[in-house]
Amino acid sequence: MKPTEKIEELLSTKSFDSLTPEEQAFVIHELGSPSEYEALRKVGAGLSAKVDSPTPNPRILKNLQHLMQEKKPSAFPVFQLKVPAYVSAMLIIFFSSIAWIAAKTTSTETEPLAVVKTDTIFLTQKADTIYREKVVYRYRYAAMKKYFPEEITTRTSPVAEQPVESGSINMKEQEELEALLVSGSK
Amino acid sequence: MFFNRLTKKRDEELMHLVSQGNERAMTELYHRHSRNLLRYFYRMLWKEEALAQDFLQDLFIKIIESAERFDTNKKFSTWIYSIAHNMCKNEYRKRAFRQALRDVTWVEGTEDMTHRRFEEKEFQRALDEALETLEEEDKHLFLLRHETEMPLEEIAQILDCPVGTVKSRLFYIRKKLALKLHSYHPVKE
Repeated sequence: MKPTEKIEELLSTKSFDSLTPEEQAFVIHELGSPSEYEALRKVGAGLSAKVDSPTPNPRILKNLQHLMQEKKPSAFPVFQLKVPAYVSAMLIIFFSSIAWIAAKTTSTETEPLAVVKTDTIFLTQKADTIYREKVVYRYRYAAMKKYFPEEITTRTSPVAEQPVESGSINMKEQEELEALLVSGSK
Repeated sequence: MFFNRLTKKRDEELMHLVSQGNERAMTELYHRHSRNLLRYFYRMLWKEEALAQDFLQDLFIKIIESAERFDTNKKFSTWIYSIAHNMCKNEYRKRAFRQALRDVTWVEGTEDMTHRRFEEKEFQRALDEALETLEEEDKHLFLLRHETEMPLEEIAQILDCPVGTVKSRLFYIRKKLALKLHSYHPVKE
């Protein structure tokens, strides 16, 4: 150990009076006098004895505690993962393209839903073909000629003559027939 | 009960808890070191209390923010005083010009002091002024030893030099200061 190292050790631990005779001899040899030793001791002790040192501001601790609360890890650490910028960009592109494809596949035509209630149906379309049963008297003309000879003229054709009672259809029958045909076509 | 357990833990264990977001561990560390660190900053930063308080807060913010990077195998006090020293160094660089002016002022002041006797209180005031004239590294070393009462081994770790070198340097700083404060303790030849 160098002399300076030894003296420093003694200075920080012992006063001159507490030194052993060998130590005192050593100190006097190195420093010259006991008062020099005490003077050097006083320098360090003077600093340690200071009482006017400031105390930490209580606000500092509060600020630090607040900072710690902000830094506290959450219950779900996955939300605090640090993701590189390029990964974020790729994720955004990926989800955007998925959304775009999904939007394209589903029909975008949105027709307003109209609920129309109809209690009466009017059919304007008439049936294409109407079969009408009709009794044709083959020999009606001969019979009429026999019983009503004076009534028959050349203007009346035998085909146009139709029996009123059995073959002709009046208006009521016509309506009924149409109703029947309509319901049949339904 | 929880606080009692924390008080028994070493600084390094508390730092590990701080890195996990444990607020109480941080509070315990603060209570252990804040007073000494504030005194250290106060001395190092020209006894400007507001500045020292700011530095204390900034230092603990740095500790909290870089808690994950702390190697728990190393000593906490060594790490924290290294950071504190670097902060002071930066401040010194900022104020290099102003510091030079302070030195000049002090030299002028000491001329008068040699002709006066001071009591104990005045001696301490003179010691403060003498400290201001020290080189930054010397002041740092002297304050670590006598203001924070740090063991020599820890100081050696902070300064990255052998313990013997620390002792020698401390001795020479003492001598330098004693010489400046010569008028307060006249040496009998």
